[in-house]
Amino acid sequence: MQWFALPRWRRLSSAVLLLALASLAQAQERTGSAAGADAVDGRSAEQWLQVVQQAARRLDYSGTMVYQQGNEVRMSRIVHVFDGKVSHERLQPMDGRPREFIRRADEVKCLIPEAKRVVIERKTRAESFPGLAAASASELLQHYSVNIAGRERVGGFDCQVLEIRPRMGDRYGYRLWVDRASGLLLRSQTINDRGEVLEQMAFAEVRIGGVDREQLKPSWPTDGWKVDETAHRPVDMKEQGWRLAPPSGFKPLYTVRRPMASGPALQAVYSDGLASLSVFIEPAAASDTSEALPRRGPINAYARRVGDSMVTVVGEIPAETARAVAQAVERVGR
Amino acid sequence: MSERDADWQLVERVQRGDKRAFDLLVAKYQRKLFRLLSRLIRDPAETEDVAQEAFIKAYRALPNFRGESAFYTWLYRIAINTAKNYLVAQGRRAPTQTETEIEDAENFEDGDSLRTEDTPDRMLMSKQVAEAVNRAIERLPEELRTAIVLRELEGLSYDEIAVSMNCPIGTVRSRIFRAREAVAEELRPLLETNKDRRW
Amino acid sequence: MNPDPVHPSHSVSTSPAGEADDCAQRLSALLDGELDSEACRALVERLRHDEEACRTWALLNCVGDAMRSADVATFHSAGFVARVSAALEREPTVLAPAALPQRSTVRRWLLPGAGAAVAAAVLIAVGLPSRQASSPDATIAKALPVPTATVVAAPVPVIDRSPQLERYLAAHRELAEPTLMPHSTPYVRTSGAVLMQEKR
Repeated sequence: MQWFALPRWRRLSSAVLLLALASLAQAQERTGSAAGADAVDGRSAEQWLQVVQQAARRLDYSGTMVYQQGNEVRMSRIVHVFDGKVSHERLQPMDGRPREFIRRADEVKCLIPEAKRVVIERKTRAESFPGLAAASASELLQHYSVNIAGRERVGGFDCQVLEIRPRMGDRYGYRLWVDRASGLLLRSQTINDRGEVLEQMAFAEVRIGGVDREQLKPSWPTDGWKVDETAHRPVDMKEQGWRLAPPSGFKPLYTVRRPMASGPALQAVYSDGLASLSVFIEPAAASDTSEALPRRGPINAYARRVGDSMVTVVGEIPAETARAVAQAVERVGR
Repeated sequence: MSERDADWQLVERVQRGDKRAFDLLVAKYQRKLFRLLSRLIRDPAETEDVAQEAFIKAYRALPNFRGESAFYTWLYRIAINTAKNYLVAQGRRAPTQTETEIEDAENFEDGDSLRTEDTPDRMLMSKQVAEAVNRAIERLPEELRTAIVLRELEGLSYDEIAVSMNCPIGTVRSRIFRAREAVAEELRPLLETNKDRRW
Repeated sequence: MNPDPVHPSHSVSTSPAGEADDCAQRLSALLDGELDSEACRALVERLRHDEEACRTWALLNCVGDAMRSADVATFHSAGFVARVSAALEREPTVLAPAALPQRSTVRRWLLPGAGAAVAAAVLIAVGLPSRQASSPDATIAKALPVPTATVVAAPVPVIDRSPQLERYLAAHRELAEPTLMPHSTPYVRTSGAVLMQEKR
């Protein structure tokens, strides 16, 4: 969340709230007092969302994540540390080819040991995009309704279940199991409009706090490895001659130009606080036609030919929404 | 969105014993197949031989085609395999391609990246065709243009176009035909080589 | 004289030009798979001896091809179809097994839609032994049985355009920001495909 982009009155109230929540969470952990428990019970939907957002960023934790998509199950070890300023994270998939993803703030190093390569993925610096902000909890509530459902024990953890439903049918819903003590998301499901679970993320085993920084180090020494960086530069879509109209609530995060297989492409990334989508615009190959691309769990993609350009929309959104976003792309000016 | 394979009618006819219906499919896809195969086989005469073999193989295999994919998708696979076998039998691979690049070609048709050297003549022809098509489409009245774009680029069925354009199906059919007629007239001088030939 | 656009099959044209026009219209509908089967049979029959109609068929097909790619002009082999047709003459006639039901709709990409199959993927609860915390501040690590969930399987695409889609997914993942789930979740979701420098 880009702090400076929020209006001042919001920054102030958010800061106060978060401090209060953070100290409450700690207090409850230590004393399990009735007062602490009441505070958790009394949380509003907006407060819950803020708690989960903040916990994701500020907690130290390590564990095993089990991810399910379709018939596939993927297990990974995950470590997360907050050093007071930025987050660090390390993901070790336990299936497939050996890989590791090591993050520090906005930069992720992707380690590919069999090629002795590191690919650095980096978000464009926030300062380049004044006024852009990922959705705050209250903005999120404009497009989703949150039901604070029951409590469930998940393993040894006392969890609050949150049911997040889209207000319109153009996006997915979520079910979250949040540890009441720490605010850490322990299990989540992404659900379509028929109530079917498209993906599930769950911790099979987790330790909160007391994470040794050594666990962030890569499995292999990377001296002498080839380092590649993905190269993208900020651009302005309108100047490039395009107008995009994402669904209501999806705010622009980044708009960049980047090299892709068939030439330079424009990419505009939007998020509504839960789901995100990218619109790619690039020269069309000779035989490209418009079509929907195969679904991957919650991710749908739609490619549409506009003259000699190809517009491809990809995101954690229903197929119809991907298609609608692609249809709404227009050429302007020139 | 439901998609219908437009070729299924013809495929069904072939499966019921009508060889002539297969001729129509050959006429429809010959150019596309040549384009595809020329990426793997440089020589045009050989390309033609392999294309013919691919079509014959497809004909023989047609009883096994259940419409689980588009006809062209299925034909495409057969053509790629025929080309690969041909190259292997000739004791060679496609000149500058690795195994993974051929795999790539199997996975998506990216017309530009694996193309053979274009002669200036061919490039000029492409340019002329592109200009002729664009001219013809631009000149169409809006309802004809919309109908043909929805059909040929978006792949919508007549039903879907009727809903989209809020008109009866008969109107959709007529609009698409008139749009095709107009574009075909612009293309005819560029594409027809020998008027005496049947195809 | 233009045939009635609403009911083209009922149009009455006796002039040769009108007749050719009717035929061309039916060819256009056949191309789109929108001709009724009797008319389809009759039209295919007609093409055996009507050369003009054959040329029209080929040309109408070129229109769509040309709209999608200007490359349509670059290859032409005169008489190719005639050669294949002749080769076909020598082939034994194929017949699909009669037991096949008549099919009226065919799904091209097998996209999920009404009636898509819902596959059940049931996870057996995985219990892992809990670990004792070494530091007094740490919450004791607890084992969570991974809950069973019925997760919809993505249908298997016929042509898997994976390499192409992977690139978009990697680029999307690079810039998208999950706010509630762990930041690494997209890397698991897209099973870690990485955008490498494109080969030149």
